[in-house]
Amino acid sequence: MPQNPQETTNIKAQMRKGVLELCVLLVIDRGEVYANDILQELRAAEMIVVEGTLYPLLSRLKNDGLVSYNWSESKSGPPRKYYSLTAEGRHTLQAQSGAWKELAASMNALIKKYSV
Amino acid sequence: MKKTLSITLGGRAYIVEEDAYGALERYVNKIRAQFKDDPNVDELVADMEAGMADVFEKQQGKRKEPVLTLTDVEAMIQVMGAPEEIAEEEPAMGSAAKEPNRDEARTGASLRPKRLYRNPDDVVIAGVCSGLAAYLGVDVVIVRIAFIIAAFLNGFGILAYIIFWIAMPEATTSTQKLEMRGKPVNLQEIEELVKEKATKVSEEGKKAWDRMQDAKSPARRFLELPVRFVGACARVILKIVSVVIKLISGIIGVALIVAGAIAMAATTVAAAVMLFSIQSPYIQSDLPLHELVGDPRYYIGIAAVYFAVIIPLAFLIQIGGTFVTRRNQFQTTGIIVLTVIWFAAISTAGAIGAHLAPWAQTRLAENEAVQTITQEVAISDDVNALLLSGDTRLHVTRGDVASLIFTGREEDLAMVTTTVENGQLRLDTSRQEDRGRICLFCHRAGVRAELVLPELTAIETRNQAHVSLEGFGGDLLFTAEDYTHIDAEVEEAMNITTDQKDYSRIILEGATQSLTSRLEDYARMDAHDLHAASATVRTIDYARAVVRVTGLLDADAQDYSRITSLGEPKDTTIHESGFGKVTNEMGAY
Repeated sequence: MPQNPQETTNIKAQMRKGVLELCVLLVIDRGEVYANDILQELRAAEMIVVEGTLYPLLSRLKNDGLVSYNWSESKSGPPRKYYSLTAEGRHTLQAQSGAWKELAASMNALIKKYSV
Repeated sequence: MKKTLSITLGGRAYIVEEDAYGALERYVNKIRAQFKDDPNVDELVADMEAGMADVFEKQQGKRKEPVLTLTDVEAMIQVMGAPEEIAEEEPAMGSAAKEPNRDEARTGASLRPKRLYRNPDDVVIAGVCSGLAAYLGVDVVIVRIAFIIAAFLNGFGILAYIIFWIAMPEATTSTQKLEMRGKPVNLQEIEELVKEKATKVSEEGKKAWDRMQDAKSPARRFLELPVRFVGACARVILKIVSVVIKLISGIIGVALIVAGAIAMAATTVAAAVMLFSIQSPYIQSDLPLHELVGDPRYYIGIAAVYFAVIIPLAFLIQIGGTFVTRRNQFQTTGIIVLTVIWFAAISTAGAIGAHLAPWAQTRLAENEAVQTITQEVAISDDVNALLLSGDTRLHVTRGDVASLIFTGREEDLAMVTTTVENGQLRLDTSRQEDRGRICLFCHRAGVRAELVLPELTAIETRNQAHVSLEGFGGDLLFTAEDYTHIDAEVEEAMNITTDQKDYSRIILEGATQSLTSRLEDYARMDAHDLHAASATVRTIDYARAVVRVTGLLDADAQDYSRITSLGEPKDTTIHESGFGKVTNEMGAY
């Protein structure tokens, strides 16, 4: 019996939720970015639905010492917070991307084996 | 037409329509509530506000509207996500280990202390009472009645209200309203939900009603009958309650307005008379008021007193108007101006009163010294009974030759009539000449009379008569009515009989063989210095009697009256009925 589409969406959301932190760390690793830059990337990658979610996540990453920010003037409008990774953040990024690669590899292998 | 507000969001300035501002504020408050356990909540909210500003920026890039509308805010919320969704994705502090404790922590810590706010949703004048009621957790009606009562205590309530009004901020935001009631701010979500759903529900309800009207199945109608009946009852009760509340506040309001207006009119007439018609022949006064004509202090003083009285009355009428219309009839500037005038008037009146008081005192003293005369009236020796009425003061002493001397002002003495009938001397003072005249600052010392009699057996007093007597004995009968006062020092009396009604008062001193008393209404008899061998006392209806008996006491107290027995009577007969009480010094019997 096929799962209904509602539940599929749900599972997708759960999966995204699991890797959102990794996504954000990846984008920040690119260089100094501010919240809207991160959101743009995430939107493009269809990794985020509720944009408001980003801010508590950033707040936590900062509290955990994975990211830091500095205020910079912008071309238009008020100064913005530009985020960058700390050494610890880069460490975590490496660990998490390693974990993801493993997970992806084993999942792909499983899917291939039973060819869904 | 819509009101707009200018705000800054994430460092940018915006002009927002009022409803859009409300939605935005609710949204920010809800987010704050979701993350309030997070120590960095302020920073987080600031970041999110900057994010919201980014979203608006993107929206506004498309069109050139400078004003944010409700649609803009709703679109922004669509992008940012509902507060619950945000919190669900990333719970406060994010650590999963904390999750199970969150609910507990929330219910424990979220009971905010109550704060004192004025309640703009339940306003008669400025929402002070409803705010206080919310703070104290009592019904607002109680607070309002307390303030109205206090308003009549020298206007204390009005002053207190004004102070509270100035001191208490108005609860404008939902958070403040919740703090006002001391409810956890989480309830905000429920409140918001209710607000948002209310319109939906009413629309759906209407649709359902229409559907029901369409589907005219009798069976269905029958099934829905009880539901509809309960609904109708609830509606009727609500309507009755609201009508009753409106009616009561209307009655209070009308009463305040009428009372205030009557008092105002009376004050105005009195002030006008004192200012412009002081020399009218219809005005009687012991003070030579005509001397004041032309003295500016007098006019300023009258005007000051007038304003000192009229301003609180104006407030009273305003309060009445507020009750009737159920809308605030006060304006802050008006109140401040009136209060300042009132204080100025009070201090002016006080200062002028202090100026004029010595003048008034000397004038009154001069007046009395000039006008007091003495008059002797011849009476025969066979007088042995007295009937006193009016407000004469009489002092009776025992002597061999009967005499009667009046002291007082000539015009007062002219009002006294003296007659003798069957051995009874009748003194009557009436003030018929006073009728139809207005008396200002009248000082009435009344008439004093000194009476000497060889023998006296009966005294009867009416109206406000005041008698004191010394040195009589044998059998004595006192009959007192109205507000009269008898003060008797007896010597070797045999039988004293008293009969009292109304508010009369008798004080007895000395010694007697027997005392027979009957008291009605609010009469008082104080015989604690009269040593009676035996006494029979009957009291009815709130009367009070104090006796000192050595032999037999027969006491009968009815209907809330009280008899107090001092000394130690050898034998007692006590009757108590209808809450009447007989007690001795120790409170026993």
